[in-house]
Amino acid sequence: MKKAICVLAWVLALCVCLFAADRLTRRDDSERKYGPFFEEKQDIDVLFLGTSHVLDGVSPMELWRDFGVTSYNMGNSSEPLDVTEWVLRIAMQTHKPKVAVIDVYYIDRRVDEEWMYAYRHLFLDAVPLSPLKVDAVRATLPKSEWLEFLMPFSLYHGRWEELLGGTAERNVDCEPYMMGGEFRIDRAVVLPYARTTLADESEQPGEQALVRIAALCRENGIEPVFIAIPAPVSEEEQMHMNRVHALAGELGVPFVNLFDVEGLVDFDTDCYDYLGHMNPDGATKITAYLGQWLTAHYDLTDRRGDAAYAYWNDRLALYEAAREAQWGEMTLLDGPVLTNPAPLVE
Amino acid sequence: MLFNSFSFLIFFPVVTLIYFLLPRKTRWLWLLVTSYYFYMNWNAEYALLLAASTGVTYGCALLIGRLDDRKKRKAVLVAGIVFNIGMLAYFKYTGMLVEIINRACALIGVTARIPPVDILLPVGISFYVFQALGYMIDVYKGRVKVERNLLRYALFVSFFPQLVAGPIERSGRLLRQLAEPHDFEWKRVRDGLLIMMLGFFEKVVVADRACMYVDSIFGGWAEASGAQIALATAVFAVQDLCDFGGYSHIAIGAAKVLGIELMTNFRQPYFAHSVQNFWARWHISLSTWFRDYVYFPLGAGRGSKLRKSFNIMVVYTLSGLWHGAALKYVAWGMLNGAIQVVEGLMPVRRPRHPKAHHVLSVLRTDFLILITMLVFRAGSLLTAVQMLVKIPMHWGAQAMATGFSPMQALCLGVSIAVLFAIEVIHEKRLSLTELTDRLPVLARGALYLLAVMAIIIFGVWGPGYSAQAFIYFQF
Repeated sequence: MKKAICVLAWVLALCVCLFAADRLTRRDDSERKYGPFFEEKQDIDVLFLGTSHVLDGVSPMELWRDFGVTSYNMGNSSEPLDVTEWVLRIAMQTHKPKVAVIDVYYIDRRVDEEWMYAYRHLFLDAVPLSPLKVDAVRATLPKSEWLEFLMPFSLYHGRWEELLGGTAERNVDCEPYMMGGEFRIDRAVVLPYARTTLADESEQPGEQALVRIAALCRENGIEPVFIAIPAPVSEEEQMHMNRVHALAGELGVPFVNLFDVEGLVDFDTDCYDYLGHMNPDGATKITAYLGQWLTAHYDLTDRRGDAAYAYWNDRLALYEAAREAQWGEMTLLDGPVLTNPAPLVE
Repeated sequence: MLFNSFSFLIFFPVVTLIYFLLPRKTRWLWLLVTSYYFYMNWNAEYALLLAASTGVTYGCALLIGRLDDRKKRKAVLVAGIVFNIGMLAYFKYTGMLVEIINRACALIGVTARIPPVDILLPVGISFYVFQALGYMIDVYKGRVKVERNLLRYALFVSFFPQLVAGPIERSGRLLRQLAEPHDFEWKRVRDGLLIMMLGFFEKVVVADRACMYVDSIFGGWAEASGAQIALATAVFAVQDLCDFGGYSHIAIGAAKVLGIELMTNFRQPYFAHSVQNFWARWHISLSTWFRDYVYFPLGAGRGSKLRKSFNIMVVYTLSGLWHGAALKYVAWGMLNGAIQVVEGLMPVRRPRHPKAHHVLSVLRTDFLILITMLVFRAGSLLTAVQMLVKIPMHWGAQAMATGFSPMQALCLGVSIAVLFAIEVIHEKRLSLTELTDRLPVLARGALYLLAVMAIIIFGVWGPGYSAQAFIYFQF
């Protein structure tokens, strides 16, 4: 009996050590980006989902400051709509928002072609292990990768080298008080752009996911909204996105196509890279527009006076200080700072 | 299923738990079922080969036991050997044979070519075929009794801890143990787990990290300096020991947990004072197999020196061939044989300074073994010669390999130092478990915990982390 107790105590100590090692070695990018969502105790009324364009184009803290709307930006780079559907499913386990705003930029991408390795970890590492997470991993990733996403320690124990060597680096520009949003500090000349309102004739890979997302929202009492954030994308890509007008009409879902809002953003000053991702100025303009549109169309409570949400103001203070510190100097400069920067890694 | 896989980490505790929960008389049947499951995880179809080898050697041994006529007994034995060696040869050596024939044809100007064959080598075939053959020969020689229970014999051939990488057990030891019931004993189980832990340390911390450096240098040897090649060869010697020895330790430890004692397979080989002594310490189960079933029947050391030398060369040529289907392995085996032949011809003198003589002998042996290791690891025999020439001719100063960071080198160096300390303890005939038993319970528990955590964190396992993959694309 004494031996059994000793063995049990030892196994328990091993579990504690493994848990600690898991925490110590894990990259914290995912925790910083999505952790606050899973930890938030109060209601989140609006969820923003989709690609890097919604990630950089919408600031939940400015939505709070100007409209008193609680929101979270779940946007993630290179996220196909099939993945967005799983992000929504997983998010609904923790919060049931009133409105889910879905970015349709990647309507023409397939999950097996597009969802990049680092971004898979950026989202899934912070998601607590649950049967739904297992289903999401099985549905979106090849079998060879299941283990590292369900048990991230199998991957991150290999970080001992950079942790001991002091070379570990964080790679996301997201802080927990940004509620999923991020700052991209720069101003760039964008790719040549010409607007088209034509729609492609062939069905796009992400359309069925949009149908499922709309149904999923309605089943759960969430209002779905489709959105397209302006960017200097090719006419072909615009034609793919323009198909959403018809699809949204069929589904009875509003489609806020910001490409068609005259003078909303200025590509000469509001983008931080040549692909047209928004810098803080661009994000402020888009957030302001969306705030007005959302509060005009849905019954979103202004929670600024609610004492239970007072801590959102603490986040806002941190956000504004960081914005001023990082973006303030940049606005003093004239013209583009970074011209068509190439991605860091091809 | 590899020992250092996530599947095995689930498989082994489940098998062990159920094993000890089952009635004592049925436990061996559970081991048989799980052994076949273990094997079929690689390739279910190749379990048929395992079953065929089992069936044929079982039947032959049964016939040998019943027959009185010596000639008929011998005929049955030969038939059993031919079947098993034929099966091994087909799967392992067909490709090499085709290549030799094609090269020979090219040499004499024949343009016709046999198309290259691509036969998947069944995992562990070299091990279980030798184990089954050993049993059949032992029955023929009257060393062991015939095992009449087919299923028990099937377990002897397929016992999962030693099925795919040995040790190649003898029927006299293993069959008896498999027939005995084994109860759960704390101390034995703990000792088994500690041996497994040592094996995991050797495999995932030392061997798999050493492999990164070795592969990098041997893969690009043309650009490597002599110093790099020399260091990579030395590191490969450690890798080879830890890879194979580690796997053996896991097998021995796992079997011990289940109550089965397997033979020691590696006994501090780099402390050997001669190449002959090295082979008495390296892959002992194979060396003794060749000794018992090839060297002794050939006449061993009886007769002239020439005859003895011939016997040694035969054994080591076959050993080379067993290790791999390529000419370099044959050359490696012959080199080992030749060194031993020369050692045997050297006059034995009483040294004036025994300790210094012993150290020098060990260093000389390691030097010779390193040369054979280079031949073993090089891409081909020609490459091995070119690399050997390059070591003194283009020594250089560069020792690190591209992609092998100083932190990795430090980790490898520390783990080799730990391994060396363990080898010294074992060489002094001390037991690690007995040494740790002297510690207070808490300290012992903490030490085990530290060791397990070090293996988990510093071990090379899982998908492999690369910081480069986490530089998020800026869009």
